[in-house]
Amino acid sequence: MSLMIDAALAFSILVAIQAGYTVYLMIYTWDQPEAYAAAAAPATFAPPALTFTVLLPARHEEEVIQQTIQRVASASYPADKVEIIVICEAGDTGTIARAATAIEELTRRGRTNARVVTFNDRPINKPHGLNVGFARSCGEVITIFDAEDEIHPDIFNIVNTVMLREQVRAVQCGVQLMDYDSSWYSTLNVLEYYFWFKSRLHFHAAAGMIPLGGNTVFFRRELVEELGGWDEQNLTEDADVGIRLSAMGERVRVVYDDRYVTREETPPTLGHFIRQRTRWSQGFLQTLLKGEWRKLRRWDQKLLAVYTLAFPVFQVALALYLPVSLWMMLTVRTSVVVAMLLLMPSYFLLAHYFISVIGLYEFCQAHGLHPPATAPLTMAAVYLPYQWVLAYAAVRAMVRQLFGASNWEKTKHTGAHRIDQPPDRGAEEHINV
Amino acid sequence: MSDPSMLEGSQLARSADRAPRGFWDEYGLIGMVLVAVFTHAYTMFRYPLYLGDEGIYLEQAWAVIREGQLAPYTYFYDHAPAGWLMIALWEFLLPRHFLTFGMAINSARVFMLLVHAGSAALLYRIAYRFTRGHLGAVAASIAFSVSPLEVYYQRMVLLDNLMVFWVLLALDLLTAESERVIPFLASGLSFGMATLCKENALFFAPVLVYLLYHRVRQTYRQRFAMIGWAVSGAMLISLYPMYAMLKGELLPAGAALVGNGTPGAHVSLISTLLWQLGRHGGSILSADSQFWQYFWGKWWDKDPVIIVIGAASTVLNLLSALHDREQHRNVLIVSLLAIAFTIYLIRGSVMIDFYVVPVLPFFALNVGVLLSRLASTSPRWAGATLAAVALVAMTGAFLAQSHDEYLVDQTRLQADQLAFIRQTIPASATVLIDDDLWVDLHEPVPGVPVYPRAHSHWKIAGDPAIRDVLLRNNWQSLDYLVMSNKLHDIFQLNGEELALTAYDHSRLLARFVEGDVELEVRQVIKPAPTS
Repeated sequence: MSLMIDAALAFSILVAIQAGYTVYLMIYTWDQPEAYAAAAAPATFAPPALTFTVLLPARHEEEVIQQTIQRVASASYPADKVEIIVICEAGDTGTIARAATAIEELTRRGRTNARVVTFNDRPINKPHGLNVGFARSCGEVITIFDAEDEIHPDIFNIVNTVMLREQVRAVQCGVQLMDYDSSWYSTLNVLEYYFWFKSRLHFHAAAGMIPLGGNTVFFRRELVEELGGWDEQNLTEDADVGIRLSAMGERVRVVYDDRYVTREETPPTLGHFIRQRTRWSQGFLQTLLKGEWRKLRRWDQKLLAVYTLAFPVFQVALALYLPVSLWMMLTVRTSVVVAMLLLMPSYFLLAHYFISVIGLYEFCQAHGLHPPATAPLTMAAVYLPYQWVLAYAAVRAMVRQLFGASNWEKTKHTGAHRIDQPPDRGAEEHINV
Repeated sequence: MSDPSMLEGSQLARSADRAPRGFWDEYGLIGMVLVAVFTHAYTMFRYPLYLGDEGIYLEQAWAVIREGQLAPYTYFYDHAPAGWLMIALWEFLLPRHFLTFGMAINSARVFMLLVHAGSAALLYRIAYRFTRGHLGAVAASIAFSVSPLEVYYQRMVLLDNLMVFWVLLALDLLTAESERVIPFLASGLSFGMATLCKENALFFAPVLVYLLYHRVRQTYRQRFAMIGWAVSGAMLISLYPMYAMLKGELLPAGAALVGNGTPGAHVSLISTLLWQLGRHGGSILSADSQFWQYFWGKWWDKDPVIIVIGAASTVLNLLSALHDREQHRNVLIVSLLAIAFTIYLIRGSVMIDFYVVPVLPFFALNVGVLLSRLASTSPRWAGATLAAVALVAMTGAFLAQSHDEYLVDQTRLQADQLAFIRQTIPASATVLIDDDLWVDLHEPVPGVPVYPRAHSHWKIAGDPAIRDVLLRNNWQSLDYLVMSNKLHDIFQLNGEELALTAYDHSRLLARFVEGDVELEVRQVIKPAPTS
């Protein structure tokens, strides 16, 4: 029994350190205003010079693909400098048809640099699609948007300016989930994005070890060639690309400005949410096992990479730890000091909750929203269930990784973040599980 | 990024890097810390007399190291334990622990010296930031470290001195030249630590929050700074009720709210808290209240100067700052800090003379701020001369009143008393003592007896485990009485029946006298056992 207590103590201290670190990364940007200022969008734009290729991988996105194409096409950047490539698997006739309709409309208006590219070989996943699209592209800068993305019209101006003025070859711009009041888990999901892009990414950028996001990320063409494209075996090809870029010592410029974020939506159902999170967790584990992070130059970068990629494991540990520590406190006769040490991780969990509540008010202020007065209570009520869902997804990812399942569990999009169009939750789903 | 909330104008000093560093920038702080160390350290093992309360905190630190408990007797949540946990850590690190510097309390007085040096450095920095000049900082430091009233209490092993250090650290972090959030979280933790040293630190909280609010309002960090400060402080403080809860001693036993001493009941944090809140020391309006007793009997007697100029500066600062709050926010805050704790003192609860300790650094700060403002009145030369004269006069007045602090050896009596006990009283005897010698009598020393059955008169009067179980509520269980200065008065004041009866049946073995200090060792004479 005493061995068990010792183990629990050691574990408790580890979890507390880990949780303390995580909590610090959440407030990093408020603690380091210089880092945040360094991530600001340029105040003035350079004249459009670079040509862009937008890769729009889409799978069963009939509902939103047309709108997305139109949004990209109407960005305030010269049309001839923005090539649009929608990438579909050949069997996805629904999406292909809708995309084709939108592109015809553009062609009628005189725009000729938009097209649909299809592929029919395996694997059917996003990195494969990106590689196919990239091979057919001709822009100087390659960017990725997801089908449901609501991009800011000035996004190309920003990246054009930053790349020219600062001589960087990779730029990650902010992505933000918006529908914080659409489901019980959406507030906390929105806040995860908020803290990731608004705060934590700046820490990663400063450390020179940055797992990139899946969209609104921009690369110079030769950089993608140097990288050899995207890893088709990886479920989070974006994180993998980030690690490889960091290992090359490539500087990644983070641009975060509340005004210019790419807006997205939370997954429409808990099932989708769990599948999406499972994919991310498993992708992180894959990236961890792949070991590219070993090529990072400094030990602190390696540590940060392992910490980031192994996070799903920590998540499971924390979720399992809470009930175990409570059980031990109530049943095992330990000294009071030991019991208090066992409680330490719970304190950080509480701190995490408080920071999340503040984050909600910061987020709402930045976007002119008004959270209901009961929001902190609601968040408190769903806080632990949300952690358990994340832990469940992480366990699922670990099990899938162990048993070699690596098929792509896609997230469904309904356009809930598009304020002018009510979400259509009853829509038919075509999802491979 | 500029922080528009940064206190402006006559307010917080910008970093000194911009101007070439002058003599005072280099040596001001170090010089004042040296002054603090000198006034505090010189003869600190001789004066003042070891106080019973010093002994209590030391014996509780002793219990932490030697017994793994928070007190050698039943801990009943009289104070939160952070203060003596720190003392215990210090004692643990010392090569010969409690015996490193002779009498046991000396070892902890050395710790107090370090704490005071730290407080003096913090006060200098804070005063410098508030006044943007070295004159105010020097004046505050002298008022803090030279006044005989302050020297008297700062040398003692008191939780209040530790609390002052943590409050000053919290204040220092709140006024630090930084645009980060972490210093505010650290400040919240410091304030939590202050509260865990002595709970009445909470009286400073409103002023600290007011200061914080004006530093960060309408900035990017407002929410994280304000909520972060409060939550980090509250979380640290919560460890105290958490400890009580885990021991099953948070809530009173059964229906009795004040469970202490009731057979079958257990101690509890809540009942002690209610009991303390319910104690009254007499209204400030009544001349025989405890406040006025200590005021005339102790504080005024030690040093009327710091009381008069401290209170006067506080009032003048308050009045002038209220006149234009925007312009003089810092002056307002400085005066409110002194007022906040004065309110604690005059609200009419039970008190002990050293409760005045936390108000003194803020009296000093008010003196510094006032002198600094005097120096900047026009014409410049007149103001500066006036301020310099006032500073010299104040220093002279402090020194003129200091006599006992540097010239009297009081603790020699206690050392003699201890030596007598070790020669005369057998180790197996049951001895009533005051807490001043508790650790000296319990800590094993090679070649001298240890007295496991020497017990504090407080516990003999009030702790059922000692009074009812060990002594069977019978004065004849006591073999010897070790009387500290005026202990008999305390027996009478508190109605300590067992001790009074034993005293009446005792004979004097030795008496140690110097000035108005009188110590005794007495033997209890018991009726011959009937056969």
